[in-house]
Amino acid sequence: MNKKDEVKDMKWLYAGIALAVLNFIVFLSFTTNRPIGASTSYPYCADLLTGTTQNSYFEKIMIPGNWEMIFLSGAFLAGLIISLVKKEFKLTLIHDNWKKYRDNSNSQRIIWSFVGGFILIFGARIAGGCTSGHIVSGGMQLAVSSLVFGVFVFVGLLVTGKVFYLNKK
Amino acid sequence: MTFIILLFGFLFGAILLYAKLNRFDTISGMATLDDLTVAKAIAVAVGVGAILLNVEIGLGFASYHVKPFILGGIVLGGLIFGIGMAILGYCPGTLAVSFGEGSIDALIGIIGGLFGGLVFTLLLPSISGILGPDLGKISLFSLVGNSVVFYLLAACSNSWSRIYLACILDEQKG
Repeated sequence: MNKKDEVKDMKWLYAGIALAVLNFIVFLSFTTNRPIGASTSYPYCADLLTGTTQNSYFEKIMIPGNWEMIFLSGAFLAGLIISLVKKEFKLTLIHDNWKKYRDNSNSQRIIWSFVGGFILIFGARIAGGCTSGHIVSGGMQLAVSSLVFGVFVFVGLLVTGKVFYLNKK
Repeated sequence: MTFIILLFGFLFGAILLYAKLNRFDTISGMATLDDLTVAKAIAVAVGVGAILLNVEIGLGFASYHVKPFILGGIVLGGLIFGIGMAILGYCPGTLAVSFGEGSIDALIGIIGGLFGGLVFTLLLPSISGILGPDLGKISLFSLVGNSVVFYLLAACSNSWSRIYLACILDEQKG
Protein backbone atom coordinates (compact mmCIF):
# COMPACT_ATOMS: atom_id res chain seq x y z
CA MET A 1 0.00 0.00 0.00
CA ASN A 2 1.15 3.52 -0.72
CA LYS A 3 1.61 6.12 1.90
CA LYS A 4 0.23 9.54 1.02
CA ASP A 5 3.60 11.20 0.66
CA GLU A 6 5.18 8.49 -1.49
CA VAL A 7 5.29 8.75 -5.25
CA LYS A 8 2.13 7.12 -6.49
CA ASP A 9 2.60 3.63 -7.92
CA MET A 10 0.65 3.47 -11.16
CA LYS A 11 1.92 0.10 -12.34
CA TRP A 12 -1.56 -1.46 -11.92
CA LEU A 13 -2.84 0.99 -14.55
CA TYR A 14 -0.11 0.33 -17.12
CA ALA A 15 -0.32 -3.43 -16.50
CA GLY A 16 -4.11 -3.35 -16.95
CA ILE A 17 -3.82 -1.49 -20.25
CA ALA A 18 -0.99 -3.78 -21.41
CA LEU A 19 -3.09 -6.88 -20.65
CA ALA A 20 -5.95 -5.43 -22.68
CA VAL A 21 -3.65 -4.75 -25.64
CA LEU A 22 -2.06 -8.20 -25.38
CA ASN A 23 -5.46 -9.89 -25.38
CA PHE A 24 -6.48 -7.72 -28.34
CA ILE A 25 -3.50 -9.13 -30.26
CA VAL A 26 -4.08 -12.73 -29.11
CA PHE A 27 -7.72 -12.46 -30.27
CA LEU A 28 -6.80 -11.45 -33.85
CA SER A 29 -7.88 -13.99 -36.46
CA PHE A 30 -4.45 -13.95 -38.09
CA THR A 31 -2.50 -14.52 -34.85
CA THR A 32 -4.08 -17.13 -32.59
CA ASN A 33 -7.82 -16.38 -32.98
CA ARG A 34 -8.69 -17.12 -29.34
CA PRO A 35 -8.66 -15.46 -25.92
CA ILE A 36 -5.93 -15.72 -23.29
CA GLY A 37 -6.57 -18.63 -20.93
CA ALA A 38 -4.64 -20.80 -18.50
CA SER A 39 -6.57 -23.39 -16.50
CA THR A 40 -7.25 -25.94 -19.29
CA SER A 41 -3.53 -26.71 -19.41
CA TYR A 42 -3.72 -28.41 -15.99
CA PRO A 43 -6.13 -31.25 -16.83
CA TYR A 44 -4.46 -31.45 -20.28
CA CYS A 45 -0.99 -32.07 -18.81
CA ALA A 46 -2.31 -34.29 -16.00
CA ASP A 47 -4.31 -36.45 -18.41
CA LEU A 48 -1.31 -36.74 -20.75
CA LEU A 49 1.08 -37.65 -17.92
CA THR A 50 -1.22 -40.34 -16.54
CA GLY A 51 -2.47 -41.60 -19.91
CA THR A 52 -6.06 -40.63 -19.06
CA THR A 53 -6.75 -39.70 -22.66
CA GLN A 54 -9.50 -42.13 -23.64
CA ASN A 55 -12.40 -39.87 -22.65
CA SER A 56 -14.52 -37.21 -24.29
CA TYR A 57 -13.26 -34.47 -21.97
CA PHE A 58 -9.65 -34.91 -23.05
CA GLU A 59 -10.72 -34.84 -26.68
CA LYS A 60 -12.48 -31.55 -26.01
CA ILE A 61 -9.52 -29.88 -24.29
CA MET A 62 -6.73 -31.21 -26.50
CA ILE A 63 -6.38 -28.11 -28.66
CA PRO A 64 -6.95 -25.37 -26.04
CA GLY A 65 -5.00 -27.38 -23.44
CA ASN A 66 -1.97 -27.57 -25.70
CA TRP A 67 -2.19 -23.86 -26.54
CA GLU A 68 -2.40 -22.90 -22.88
CA MET A 69 0.46 -25.22 -21.94
CA ILE A 70 2.74 -23.44 -24.43
CA PHE A 71 1.39 -20.07 -23.29
CA LEU A 72 2.13 -20.83 -19.63
CA SER A 73 5.59 -22.13 -20.57
CA GLY A 74 6.21 -18.64 -21.95
CA ALA A 75 4.88 -17.11 -18.73
CA PHE A 76 7.17 -19.40 -16.72
CA LEU A 77 10.16 -18.35 -18.83
CA ALA A 78 9.27 -14.70 -18.24
CA GLY A 79 9.31 -15.29 -14.48
CA LEU A 80 12.58 -17.20 -14.65
CA ILE A 81 14.52 -15.06 -17.12
CA ILE A 82 13.39 -11.64 -15.89
CA SER A 83 13.98 -12.50 -12.24
CA LEU A 84 17.42 -13.89 -13.06
CA VAL A 85 18.36 -10.83 -15.11
CA LYS A 86 17.13 -8.48 -12.38
CA LYS A 87 18.84 -10.68 -9.77
CA GLU A 88 15.51 -11.10 -7.99
CA PHE A 89 15.25 -14.88 -8.38
CA LYS A 90 14.72 -16.33 -4.92
CA LEU A 91 13.61 -19.73 -3.71
CA THR A 92 10.71 -18.91 -1.42
CA LEU A 93 8.20 -21.18 0.26
CA ILE A 94 6.63 -18.82 2.77
CA HIS A 95 5.80 -15.29 1.67
CA ASP A 96 5.37 -12.26 3.94
CA ASN A 97 1.57 -12.22 3.99
CA TRP A 98 1.47 -15.89 4.98
CA LYS A 99 3.89 -15.17 7.84
CA LYS A 100 1.81 -12.21 8.89
CA TYR A 101 -1.54 -13.97 9.02
CA ARG A 102 -0.69 -17.67 9.36
CA ASP A 103 2.62 -19.03 10.62
CA ASN A 104 6.19 -19.95 9.83
CA SER A 105 5.57 -23.67 9.44
CA ASN A 106 6.88 -25.14 6.20
CA SER A 107 4.64 -28.21 6.41
CA GLN A 108 1.52 -26.06 6.87
CA ARG A 109 2.33 -24.00 3.77
CA ILE A 110 3.14 -27.10 1.74
CA ILE A 111 -0.15 -28.79 2.64
CA TRP A 112 -2.24 -25.67 2.03
CA SER A 113 -0.48 -24.92 -1.28
CA PHE A 114 -1.36 -28.39 -2.52
CA VAL A 115 -4.95 -28.17 -1.29
CA GLY A 116 -5.29 -24.64 -2.65
CA GLY A 117 -3.93 -25.64 -6.06
CA PHE A 118 -6.20 -28.65 -6.19
CA ILE A 119 -9.43 -26.77 -5.50
CA LEU A 120 -8.33 -23.79 -7.61
CA ILE A 121 -8.10 -25.91 -10.75
CA PHE A 122 -11.07 -28.09 -9.83
CA GLY A 123 -13.21 -24.96 -9.42
CA ALA A 124 -11.89 -23.45 -12.65
CA ARG A 125 -12.73 -26.58 -14.62
CA ILE A 126 -16.23 -26.78 -13.15
CA ALA A 127 -16.84 -23.21 -14.32
CA GLY A 128 -14.92 -23.62 -17.59
CA GLY A 129 -12.35 -20.89 -16.99
CA CYS A 130 -10.19 -18.94 -14.56
CA THR A 131 -9.00 -15.40 -13.90
CA SER A 132 -7.55 -15.01 -17.39
CA GLY A 133 -10.02 -17.07 -19.42
CA HIS A 134 -13.20 -16.01 -17.64
CA ILE A 135 -12.71 -12.82 -15.63
CA VAL A 136 -10.35 -10.96 -17.99
CA SER A 137 -11.05 -12.41 -21.46
CA GLY A 138 -14.74 -13.13 -20.83
CA GLY A 139 -15.21 -9.82 -19.04
CA MET A 140 -13.83 -7.99 -22.09
CA GLN A 141 -16.41 -9.76 -24.25
CA LEU A 142 -19.12 -8.79 -21.77
CA ALA A 143 -19.97 -12.48 -21.49
CA VAL A 144 -22.69 -13.20 -18.92
CA SER A 145 -21.00 -16.42 -17.74
CA SER A 146 -17.73 -14.60 -17.03
CA LEU A 147 -19.30 -11.61 -15.30
CA VAL A 148 -21.29 -13.91 -12.99
CA PHE A 149 -18.20 -16.07 -12.42
CA GLY A 150 -16.27 -12.94 -11.38
CA VAL A 151 -18.87 -12.08 -8.75
CA PHE A 152 -18.79 -15.54 -7.16
CA VAL A 153 -14.98 -15.71 -7.25
CA PHE A 154 -14.90 -12.41 -5.41
CA VAL A 155 -17.32 -13.72 -2.77
CA GLY A 156 -15.28 -16.91 -2.28
CA LEU A 157 -12.05 -14.92 -2.17
CA LEU A 158 -13.20 -12.36 0.40
CA VAL A 159 -14.97 -14.85 2.69
CA THR A 160 -11.87 -17.06 2.68
CA GLY A 161 -9.68 -14.01 3.27
CA LYS A 162 -11.72 -13.28 6.37
CA VAL A 163 -11.96 -16.83 7.71
CA PHE A 164 -8.58 -18.19 6.65
CA TYR A 165 -6.35 -15.15 7.20
CA LEU A 166 -7.93 -12.26 9.10
CA ASN A 167 -9.70 -14.27 11.81
CA LYS A 168 -6.62 -16.40 12.35
CA LYS A 169 -4.75 -13.84 14.43
CA MET B 1 2.96 -20.89 -34.31
CA THR B 2 4.45 -22.44 -31.16
CA PHE B 3 6.95 -19.62 -31.00
CA ILE B 4 4.24 -16.96 -31.26
CA ILE B 5 2.21 -18.54 -28.44
CA LEU B 6 5.37 -18.82 -26.36
CA LEU B 7 6.09 -15.15 -27.03
CA PHE B 8 2.55 -14.12 -26.05
CA GLY B 9 2.96 -16.13 -22.84
CA PHE B 10 6.29 -14.44 -22.16
CA LEU B 11 4.71 -11.00 -22.59
CA PHE B 12 1.82 -12.05 -20.33
CA GLY B 13 4.30 -13.10 -17.66
CA ALA B 14 6.35 -9.93 -18.07
CA ILE B 15 3.26 -7.72 -17.61
CA LEU B 16 2.20 -9.60 -14.47
CA LEU B 17 5.74 -9.39 -13.06
CA TYR B 18 5.97 -5.68 -13.79
CA ALA B 19 3.04 -4.89 -11.48
CA LYS B 20 3.79 -7.85 -9.13
CA LEU B 21 0.34 -9.21 -10.04
CA ASN B 22 1.71 -12.75 -9.87
CA ARG B 23 2.92 -12.50 -6.28
CA PHE B 24 1.43 -14.41 -3.36
CA ASP B 25 1.38 -11.22 -1.28
CA THR B 26 -0.54 -9.34 -3.99
CA ILE B 27 -3.22 -11.99 -4.53
CA SER B 28 -3.66 -13.05 -0.89
CA GLY B 29 -3.58 -9.32 -0.12
CA MET B 30 -6.63 -8.98 -2.36
CA ALA B 31 -8.42 -11.59 -0.23
CA THR B 32 -7.60 -9.67 2.96
CA LEU B 33 -8.22 -6.30 1.25
CA ASP B 34 -4.72 -5.13 2.19
CA ASP B 35 -3.80 -4.72 -1.47
CA LEU B 36 -6.23 -3.78 -4.24
CA THR B 37 -3.77 -4.11 -7.15
CA VAL B 38 -5.54 -7.17 -8.57
CA ALA B 39 -8.98 -5.53 -8.58
CA LYS B 40 -7.68 -2.29 -10.07
CA ALA B 41 -5.63 -3.94 -12.82
CA ILE B 42 -8.47 -6.29 -13.80
CA ALA B 43 -10.99 -3.45 -13.85
CA VAL B 44 -8.75 -1.47 -16.21
CA ALA B 45 -7.91 -4.50 -18.37
CA VAL B 46 -11.58 -5.38 -18.82
CA GLY B 47 -12.65 -1.76 -19.31
CA VAL B 48 -10.00 -0.97 -21.93
CA GLY B 49 -10.12 -4.45 -23.45
CA ALA B 50 -13.88 -4.33 -24.01
CA ILE B 51 -13.46 -1.21 -26.15
CA LEU B 52 -10.54 -2.66 -28.11
CA LEU B 53 -12.34 -5.97 -28.69
CA ASN B 54 -15.52 -4.28 -29.84
CA VAL B 55 -13.63 -2.28 -32.44
CA GLU B 56 -11.64 -5.32 -33.52
CA ILE B 57 -14.67 -7.60 -33.82
CA GLY B 58 -16.72 -4.83 -35.44
CA LEU B 59 -14.05 -4.45 -38.13
CA GLY B 60 -14.00 -8.21 -38.73
CA PHE B 61 -10.46 -8.85 -37.46
CA ALA B 62 -11.57 -11.18 -34.66
CA SER B 63 -14.61 -13.03 -33.41
CA TYR B 64 -16.33 -13.67 -30.11
CA HIS B 65 -15.24 -16.64 -27.99
CA VAL B 66 -17.90 -16.49 -25.29
CA LYS B 67 -17.99 -19.31 -22.73
CA PRO B 68 -21.37 -20.95 -22.11
CA PHE B 69 -23.38 -19.80 -19.09
CA ILE B 70 -23.66 -23.14 -17.26
CA LEU B 71 -25.45 -21.82 -14.19
CA GLY B 72 -24.50 -24.47 -11.60
CA GLY B 73 -20.92 -24.73 -12.82
CA ILE B 74 -20.37 -20.99 -12.87
CA VAL B 75 -21.74 -20.39 -9.37
CA LEU B 76 -20.21 -23.45 -7.71
CA GLY B 77 -16.97 -23.25 -9.69
CA GLY B 78 -16.64 -19.54 -8.96
CA LEU B 79 -17.00 -20.05 -5.21
CA ILE B 80 -14.56 -22.99 -5.14
CA PHE B 81 -12.10 -21.13 -7.36
CA GLY B 82 -12.25 -18.06 -5.10
CA ILE B 83 -11.58 -20.17 -2.01
CA GLY B 84 -8.62 -21.85 -3.72
CA MET B 85 -7.26 -18.54 -4.99
CA ALA B 86 -7.27 -17.09 -1.45
CA ILE B 87 -5.64 -20.12 0.20
CA LEU B 88 -3.07 -20.68 -2.53
CA GLY B 89 -2.47 -17.00 -3.27
CA TYR B 90 -2.12 -17.61 -6.99
CA CYS B 91 -4.31 -18.16 -10.05
CA PRO B 92 -3.70 -20.77 -12.76
CA GLY B 93 -1.73 -18.28 -14.88
CA THR B 94 0.21 -16.54 -12.13
CA LEU B 95 1.34 -19.92 -10.75
CA ALA B 96 3.62 -20.35 -13.76
CA VAL B 97 5.16 -16.88 -13.42
CA SER B 98 5.77 -17.21 -9.68
CA PHE B 99 7.24 -20.68 -10.09
CA GLY B 100 9.64 -19.10 -12.60
CA GLU B 101 10.62 -16.53 -9.97
CA GLY B 102 11.48 -19.32 -7.56
CA SER B 103 8.33 -19.60 -5.45
CA ILE B 104 8.23 -23.16 -4.15
CA ASP B 105 4.65 -22.79 -2.93
CA ALA B 106 3.67 -22.06 -6.55
CA LEU B 107 5.34 -25.30 -7.68
CA ILE B 108 3.38 -27.23 -5.04
CA GLY B 109 0.23 -25.40 -6.15
CA ILE B 110 0.91 -26.52 -9.74
CA ILE B 111 1.23 -30.14 -8.57
CA GLY B 112 -2.02 -29.78 -6.62
CA GLY B 113 -3.59 -28.25 -9.73
CA LEU B 114 -2.50 -31.19 -11.88
CA PHE B 115 -4.19 -33.55 -9.43
CA GLY B 116 -7.27 -31.30 -9.45
CA GLY B 117 -7.36 -31.42 -13.24
CA LEU B 118 -6.99 -35.20 -13.29
CA VAL B 119 -9.69 -35.75 -10.66
CA PHE B 120 -11.98 -33.41 -12.60
CA THR B 121 -11.46 -35.40 -15.80
CA LEU B 122 -12.31 -38.63 -13.96
CA LEU B 123 -15.30 -37.20 -12.07
CA LEU B 124 -16.85 -35.19 -14.91
CA PRO B 125 -19.19 -37.96 -16.12
CA SER B 126 -20.69 -38.28 -12.63
CA ILE B 127 -20.90 -34.56 -11.74
CA SER B 128 -22.06 -33.15 -15.06
CA GLY B 129 -25.61 -33.09 -13.67
CA ILE B 130 -24.87 -30.33 -11.17
CA LEU B 131 -23.07 -28.12 -13.69
CA GLY B 132 -26.12 -27.14 -15.70
CA PRO B 133 -28.49 -25.86 -16.88
CA ASP B 134 -26.62 -24.53 -19.91
CA LEU B 135 -28.12 -21.14 -20.74
CA GLY B 136 -25.93 -20.77 -23.83
CA LYS B 137 -23.08 -18.53 -24.96
CA ILE B 138 -24.80 -15.33 -23.96
CA SER B 139 -23.11 -11.94 -23.82
CA LEU B 140 -24.27 -8.35 -23.76
CA PHE B 141 -23.89 -8.37 -27.55
CA SER B 142 -25.99 -11.50 -28.08
CA LEU B 143 -28.65 -10.08 -25.74
CA VAL B 144 -29.00 -6.49 -26.99
CA GLY B 145 -26.62 -6.30 -29.97
CA ASN B 146 -29.45 -5.82 -32.46
CA SER B 147 -30.01 -2.40 -30.93
CA VAL B 148 -26.66 -0.90 -31.86
CA VAL B 149 -27.05 2.41 -30.06
CA PHE B 150 -28.17 0.81 -26.81
CA TYR B 151 -25.41 -1.78 -27.03
CA LEU B 152 -22.69 0.81 -27.57
CA LEU B 153 -24.03 2.95 -24.72
CA ALA B 154 -24.10 -0.03 -22.37
CA ALA B 155 -20.66 -1.27 -23.42
CA CYS B 156 -19.08 2.17 -23.14
CA SER B 157 -20.65 2.93 -19.77
CA ASN B 158 -19.48 -0.47 -18.51
CA SER B 159 -15.92 0.32 -19.58
CA TRP B 160 -16.03 3.83 -18.25
CA SER B 161 -17.42 2.80 -14.87
CA ARG B 162 -14.79 0.07 -14.45
CA ILE B 163 -11.92 2.42 -15.17
CA TYR B 164 -13.51 5.08 -12.97
CA LEU B 165 -13.98 2.56 -10.14
CA ALA B 166 -10.33 1.54 -10.38
CA CYS B 167 -9.25 5.17 -10.07
CA ILE B 168 -11.58 5.75 -7.10
CA LEU B 169 -10.18 2.66 -5.36
CA ASP B 170 -6.69 3.94 -6.04
CA GLU B 171 -7.50 7.38 -4.62
CA GLN B 172 -9.13 5.92 -1.52
CA LYS B 173 -6.79 3.14 -0.62
CA GLY B 174 -3.77 3.18 -2.88
